[in-house]
Amino acid sequence: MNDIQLVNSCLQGDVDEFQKIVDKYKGKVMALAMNVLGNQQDAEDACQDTFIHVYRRLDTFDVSRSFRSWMFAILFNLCRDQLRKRQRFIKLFKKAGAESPPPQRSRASDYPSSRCFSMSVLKDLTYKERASLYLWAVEGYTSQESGRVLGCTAATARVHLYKARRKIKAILEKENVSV
Amino acid sequence: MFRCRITHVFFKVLPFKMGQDLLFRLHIRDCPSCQKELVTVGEAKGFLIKEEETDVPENLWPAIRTGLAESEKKTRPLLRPGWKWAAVFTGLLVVIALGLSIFFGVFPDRESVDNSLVERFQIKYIRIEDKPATTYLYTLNESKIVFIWAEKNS
Repeated sequence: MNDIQLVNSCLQGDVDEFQKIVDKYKGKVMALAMNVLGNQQDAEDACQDTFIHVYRRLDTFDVSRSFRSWMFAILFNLCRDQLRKRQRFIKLFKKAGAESPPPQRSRASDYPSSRCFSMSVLKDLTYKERASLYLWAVEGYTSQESGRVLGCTAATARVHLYKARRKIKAILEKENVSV
Repeated sequence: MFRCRITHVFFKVLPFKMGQDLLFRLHIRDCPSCQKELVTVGEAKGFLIKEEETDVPENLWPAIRTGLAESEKKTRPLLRPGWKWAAVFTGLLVVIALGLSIFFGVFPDRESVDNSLVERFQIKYIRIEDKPATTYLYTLNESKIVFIWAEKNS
């Protein structure tokens, strides 16, 4: 069953059919959320919210477009909202004059030890750069497709990707690390 | 090399993404020297978390199912679609009826007010302290105002 068929059967009111979509895409959605948000707990929340949003907006899905891109666009918007909330929380915390930093939801145990360096490198990128890098390197998206997910033009998506690639290369050369 | 440096300086200075993209397409994309400063797909993949590396929670589907049921409860309409139109129509009728009653209640027809006053304006007698009082009526020319003067009889 392809995506359009699955969507159509969901639109006929079969919630259980939606489980097939969840099973098919949960890994991809979780991976993008992890790369954008940088921690397991937030990524799980975003993943769950994404599928709920997708189900509720299935009737607005344009079948001429890619279902995966449409779903990634919803996920990216949710991740952006979550990051903004986090920023507001940090600002509030700083305003309150707290000496200790706000509690981080990510733990060292969230990632295997080999991942720690990669995660620290990714933290130097903006969330848009992380998303465009993932879409390009892992999903094989063109700048046009990335732009649709990020909600910007292809030109802007290209610039985000270029900056991400350049920043990582600079860090690699500085640290003298090969991947 | 000089051209590469100039391009990078302009890239940093240009505030708009469109301009930066133009520089990318005009020079960086096809320049082997500039390409060396960018990570390849393989290198980038090494940094990113891939699908097979993710730890998807086992209770994801039950959680989504619960979330869907909750959101359905929240968004469930109070009335069925058929009843919705009936409610809207009844509401409109009530608003129109209220509007008409308020309009004619607050701004009654001037003529009908005058007529009703004329019909109701009637003085049989005026008493002051339980004794009949001397009463004078003054009317002004071309005016409907009537002054009533009542005087206690001594």
